[in-house]
Amino acid sequence: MQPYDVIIIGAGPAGLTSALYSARSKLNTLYLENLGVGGQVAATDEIENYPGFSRGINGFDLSLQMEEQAQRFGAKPLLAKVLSLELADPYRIVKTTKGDFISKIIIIASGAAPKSLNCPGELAFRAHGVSYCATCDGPFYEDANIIVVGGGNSAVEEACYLTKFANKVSLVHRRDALRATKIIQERALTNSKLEFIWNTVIQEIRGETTVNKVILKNLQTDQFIEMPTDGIFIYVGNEPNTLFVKDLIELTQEGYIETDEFMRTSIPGIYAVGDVRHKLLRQVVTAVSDGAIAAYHGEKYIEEYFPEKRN
Amino acid sequence: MLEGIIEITKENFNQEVLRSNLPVLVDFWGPRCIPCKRLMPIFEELAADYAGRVKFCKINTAENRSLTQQFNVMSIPTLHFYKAGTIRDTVRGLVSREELEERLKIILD
Repeated sequence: MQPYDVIIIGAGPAGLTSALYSARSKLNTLYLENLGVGGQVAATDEIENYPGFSRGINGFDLSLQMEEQAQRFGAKPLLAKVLSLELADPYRIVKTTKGDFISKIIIIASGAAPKSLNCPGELAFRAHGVSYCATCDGPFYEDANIIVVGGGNSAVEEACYLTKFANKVSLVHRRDALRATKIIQERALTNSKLEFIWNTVIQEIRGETTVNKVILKNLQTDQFIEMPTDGIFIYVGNEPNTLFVKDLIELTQEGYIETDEFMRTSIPGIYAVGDVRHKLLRQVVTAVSDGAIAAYHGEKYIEEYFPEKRN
Repeated sequence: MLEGIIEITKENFNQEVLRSNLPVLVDFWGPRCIPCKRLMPIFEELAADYAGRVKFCKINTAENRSLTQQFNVMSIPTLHFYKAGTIRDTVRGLVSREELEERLKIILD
């Protein structure tokens, strides 16, 4: 089998930018995606802070543009789930549900996925009143009373979005203040359909065929309160998709991939970019920056370790 | 709409889904639902690979409220796997091609 120069795992903004830079450098580039293009940004209805789009842009549309741009320079897509990575020096091997692929370098851009609450009832009522996607399921909650869990940007933005449909939205947060950025907080705090329940967690989700109430626990008083609701939307952060490399690459305690400023992991020839890596700020603008740096450094790596073999 | 994938409304639901000779996979989706859009290339790939063995159908929940309510769909994407007019399995949320193929085995047996 002809080895690829670069294999990229994940087609969110970080992975697609690596694909664009690699392909544009005439490297033979394959990018793998398990669930269709986009990554987490695709779930964002409107991105307001990606420079160059002064009126905002839909996350999925932005991803499609990035994919088209990468493909324009010859990056090849494949829908497959990555099972594991292996070393066969000097090459790197990606084992997938569609077979094994050999490459000179690998760039991991597998991103992160929403965390669960892990409370009783969450799994049982999933898709029957428990949701993780407001833009998907919001229209099913016309005139309903809804709970949103979380205090970060996603929770607060989606709570605001849900007030378009719902009668009332109650934001349940375990602290006494929001973590969301100021502009998002201001919108939420002045929204008359939105109420805030501070210092509180979800103890249990209950219902019959669908959710009809939750048991809340106040963390300051340790009191339990029963609250009727028609649905609950959960936005309590993310966890990295790194299970397939946990025995190969150095991870942080939370499971993020450790990298240096060139996006190198603990294994030479394997890079990590975007939300999957340990970093300060997880945004589209930092993801694309990671993607470009890894592709650039990867090209130098290939020139050094595969001097005569460049395709 | 890709060739081979049938758009379902309440007018053709009985004919295309309940009375189908082939097993049927029905995808409830919505125009604002991004996971639904991400599922589409996987759905299309399967529709091509299983052509003649499974019928692939889509229901736009935004335009078919009564069908959506009739099946109590509260979260999309939701996929119903039909054999001989009855639902044999359900998948909710964005899943991989491999998981869908596992479920397809149930209605192909």
